[in-house]
Amino acid sequence: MVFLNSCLFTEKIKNTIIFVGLVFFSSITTVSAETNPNKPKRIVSINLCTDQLLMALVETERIISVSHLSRDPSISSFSGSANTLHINYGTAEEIYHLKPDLVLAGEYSKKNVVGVIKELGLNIVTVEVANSLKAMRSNLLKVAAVLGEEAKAKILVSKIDNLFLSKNTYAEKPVAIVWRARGLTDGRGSLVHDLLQAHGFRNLSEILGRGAVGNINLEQIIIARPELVIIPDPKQDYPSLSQLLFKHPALRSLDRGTKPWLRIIKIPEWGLICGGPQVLKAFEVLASARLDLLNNKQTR
Amino acid sequence: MEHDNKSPVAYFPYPGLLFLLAALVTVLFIMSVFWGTVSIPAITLLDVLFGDNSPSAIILRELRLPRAILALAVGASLGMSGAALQGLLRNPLAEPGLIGVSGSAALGSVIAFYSGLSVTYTLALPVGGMIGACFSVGLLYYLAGRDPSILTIILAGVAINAVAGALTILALNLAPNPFAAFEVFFWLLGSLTDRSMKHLFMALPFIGIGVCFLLSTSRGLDALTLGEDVAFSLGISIKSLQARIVLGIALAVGASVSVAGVVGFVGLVVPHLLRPFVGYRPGRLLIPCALGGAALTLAADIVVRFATQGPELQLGVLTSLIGAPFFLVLVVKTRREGR
Amino acid sequence: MTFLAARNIVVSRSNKKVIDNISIKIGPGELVGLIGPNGAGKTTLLKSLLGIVKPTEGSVYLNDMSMKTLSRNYVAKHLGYLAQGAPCYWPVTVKNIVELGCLPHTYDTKKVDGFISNMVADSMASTGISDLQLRKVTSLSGGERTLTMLARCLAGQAPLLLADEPVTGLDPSQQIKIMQLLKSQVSSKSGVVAVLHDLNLAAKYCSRLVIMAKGKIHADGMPATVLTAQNLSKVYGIKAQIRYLDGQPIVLAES
Repeated sequence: MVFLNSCLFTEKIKNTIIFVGLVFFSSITTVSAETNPNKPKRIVSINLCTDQLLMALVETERIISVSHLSRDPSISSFSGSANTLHINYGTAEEIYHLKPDLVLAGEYSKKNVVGVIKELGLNIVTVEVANSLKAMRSNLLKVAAVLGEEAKAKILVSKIDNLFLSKNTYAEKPVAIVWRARGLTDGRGSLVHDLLQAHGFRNLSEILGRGAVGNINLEQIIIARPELVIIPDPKQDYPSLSQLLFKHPALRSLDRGTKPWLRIIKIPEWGLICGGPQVLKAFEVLASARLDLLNNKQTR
Repeated sequence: MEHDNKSPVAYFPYPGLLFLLAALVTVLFIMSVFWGTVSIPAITLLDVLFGDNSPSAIILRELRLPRAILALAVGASLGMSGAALQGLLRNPLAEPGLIGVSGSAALGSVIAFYSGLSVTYTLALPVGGMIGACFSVGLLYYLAGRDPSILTIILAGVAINAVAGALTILALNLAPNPFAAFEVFFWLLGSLTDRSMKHLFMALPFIGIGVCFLLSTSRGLDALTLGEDVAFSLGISIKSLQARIVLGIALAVGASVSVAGVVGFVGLVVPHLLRPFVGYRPGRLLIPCALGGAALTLAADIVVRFATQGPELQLGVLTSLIGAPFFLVLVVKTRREGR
Repeated sequence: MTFLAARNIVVSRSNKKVIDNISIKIGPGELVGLIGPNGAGKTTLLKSLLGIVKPTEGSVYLNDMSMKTLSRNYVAKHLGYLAQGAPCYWPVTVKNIVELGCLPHTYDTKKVDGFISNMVADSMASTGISDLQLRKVTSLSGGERTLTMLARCLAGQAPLLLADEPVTGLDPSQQIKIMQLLKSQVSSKSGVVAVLHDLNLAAKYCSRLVIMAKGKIHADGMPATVLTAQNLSKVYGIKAQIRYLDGQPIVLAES
C-alpha cells in the first residue's frame, strides 16, 4: 500500500512537470500572436483524429466544423454528433470562411493546407500521431490545454494512468494479437502494444520480432497460435476486400467449438485508427475476453 | 533468317514437349503446396484430404491447395489465351493484358464486388469479369481484326486500357466503402494470397469451359497461318472461329482476373518461348502454352512468398518485372526484322 | 465432274458495283485465264466463285447446288484457292503448309492410314519442292513460295483450282514452270482458273480466256478469238498488234 502510494506520488510529480512542460510547448507551437487563447469559441478540426479528441473534450456549441470523415460510423466513434455538425473537406478556403479562432490539424494533414492556413494568420495547432500510451496521454493534455478543458482531460488521463499501473499486476498473460487488413500488426513501440500489455496480454507481434508496424500472414498466425486474435469490425455492411481475409475458412474453422484453436474477437475499427480516448473504450472488451480465456483454460 | 532452317528446336517431338512441361508443372505444384512462410511437418496427403483438422492440415487444405490449383488454372488460362489471341491476330505481340482484356475484366469484377452484387450472388464476381473481358476482346477484334497490323492492335489496346482504367477509378469513387480505392490498388496488382476453395469453385468451371472453347480452335488457327481467305477456302468457318476464340478468352481470362487480379505478361512470355518448340504452328501452341503458363505462374507464386520480409510481393508485380523488359526486347527485335 | 457456275451475280461495295451482272460457267478440262485491267473485278469474281465473297444479288452454284446451301467442307473438297501474294503469317515449314491443304479431309474416316502423308509427299514431288520441305516458308523466294502453295492445293485434291495472280512478280523461269504445272493439272476431271496480267503467258497456256472490264465480262472464248486488237484497245486502252507464231497469238503492245 505504502509502496503504491509513493508510486502515485512520484507519478503526480511527474504529471505536474509534464503538464507544465506541455503548456510551454503548446504555447510555442501555437502560431498566432495571441498566446494561450483561453477557451476558444470557434473551433475547426480538419483531421479525423483531432475530431475525436475535440468531440471528447469540448461541447458541440464551441465546435464549428469537423472533417467529413467523422460522419463515417466505422472510423469515427462520434459519428452521431458529427451528423449534426458542419463538415469540411480540409481545404484552406473552407476553413478561412468559417472564421475559426482555433484550427486543429493532424501530423499528416496536407502540408500545403496547413501552410496556407498559417499564412492567413489563423491559429493552428498540430497534434502528432500517438504511438504509445504516454504519447496519447501527452496529446490529451496538450490539446486540453489549448482548448481550455483541463478538467475533462484529467479524468481521461487518470484512466490512462490506471492502465499504466495495471500492466504489471497480471499473473497470467495470454498471447494476443491485433491483426489488421493485409495482415498488418502492431509490435513493440506502438499504441496497440501498450494497450495489450495494459490489459494483461503478451503481444504475439513482439514475440515474433515484428517492429512497430509489421506483417504476419494467415499461415503464420495459425501456426503461432495466439490465444486471442483481435480483428477490426467495420460496423458497416459494405463489401470490403479486407474483411474477406478475416472471413477465410481456414481462420474461421479454428475459432469453433468449446475448445477452439484460437479465439477471434472484434473491436470497432474506430478503436484502431486514431490514438484518442475512444481507443480506451474500444479496448475495454479485452478485460472480459482475458477472463474468459483463463476460465476456459481451467476447465480443460 | 537462314539460321532458322536448321534450328534444332523445330524438330522437338511434340509428345516429348508435353511430357516435359507436364512434369515441370507437377513438380512446381508439389512445391507450391509444401513450401511457404510456415514449414509444415511431413504430413500424408490422406490426412490432409480426409478429416484431419490439425492446423497444419487446415493450412494445407484450405490455404495451400486452393492457391496452388488456382495458380495452375490461372496460369493455364493466361498462357493459352495469349497463344490463341496471337494466333487469331497473327501477331506475336498481342497479349490479353497489353490489349486491355485484363483491365476490362478487372473493371467488371470491381463493379460486381463493390456494388454488392457478389454478396448476393457469389457468381456475380466471375461473371462481371467475363462480361468485361468479352466486351474488350470483341471491341479489339472489331478494331483490329481484319487488318491485324501491330500498330492498330497496340493502339486499340491502349485505348481500351485507358477507358477501363478510368472507369475503374470512377467505380471506386462511387463505391460505398471509403477504403475501396486503397483495397483495390493491391488487388489490381494481382495476387493469389489467401484465396480459398470458394474462389476455386467460382472460377474453375468458367476457366474450364473457356479452355475447351480455345482447344477447339486448334485447326482453325493453323489454317489462319495462310490468311483468312485461304483458311475459309479450306473449310474453316471464320466467324465461328472468331466467336470461339473471343468467348474462350473472355471466359478464361475474365474468370481468372476476377479471382486473382491482373497478372500480366504470362500470355506474352510463354507463347514466345515455346513457339520455336512447336515449329511456330499456332494450333500446336495451345496446350504447351497452357502448361507453360501454369508452370510460370506456379513458380512466380512460390517466389512471392519469400521475396520480401513484410507483406507478400504482389504476383502481378513479379510477372510485370519479368514480362515488361521481355516485351521491350521483343519490340526491338521485331523492328529490327523489319516487319 | 465438278462444275462451278455464277448466275447473274452482282457484288456491290459502298454503292459501287464491283461485279455487274456476271454469268459464267467453269468446268474441268480447261485452263481458264481471267484477264483485264486493274480494278476490273477479277479478284472479286474469283472470291465470289470460291464463296469467300457473298454476292449481293444472284448466286453461285457448285455442281448445280447453291453455295448458300452447301457445307464449307464440301466446297473445300471441290475448290482449291491460291491466294494473291501467297500469304503466310508464321515461319512454319514447307511441309506444314502442304499438310494444311489436307484440312478438308481430316475427319474422313474412310481414308486409309497414311493417306495424308502420301498426298503431301506426292504433291511436293510433282511441284518439285521435296528438297525444300523442312525449310521455313518465310525464307523462300517468291517462286518457291508459290510452288509451296500450289503443292498445298494439290494435296487437297480439289478438282477445280482457282489461282489469283500466281505468277505476278516472279522470274520468267519460275513463271513458265508454274504455268506448266497449272496446265498439267488440267484433265477430264479437273480444271484451273487463273487471274493473269501477262497477256502472252495467258495466250500461251490458257485454253480459254475471259476478259473483264469494269465488273463485266467483255469477251469469253479461245485466245485466238478473244485476243483481238479491238478488244485490247477497248479494255486496256492500248494499241496492240497480234502476231501468230505456230498458231499461237503473240501480243505486241504499244501505247
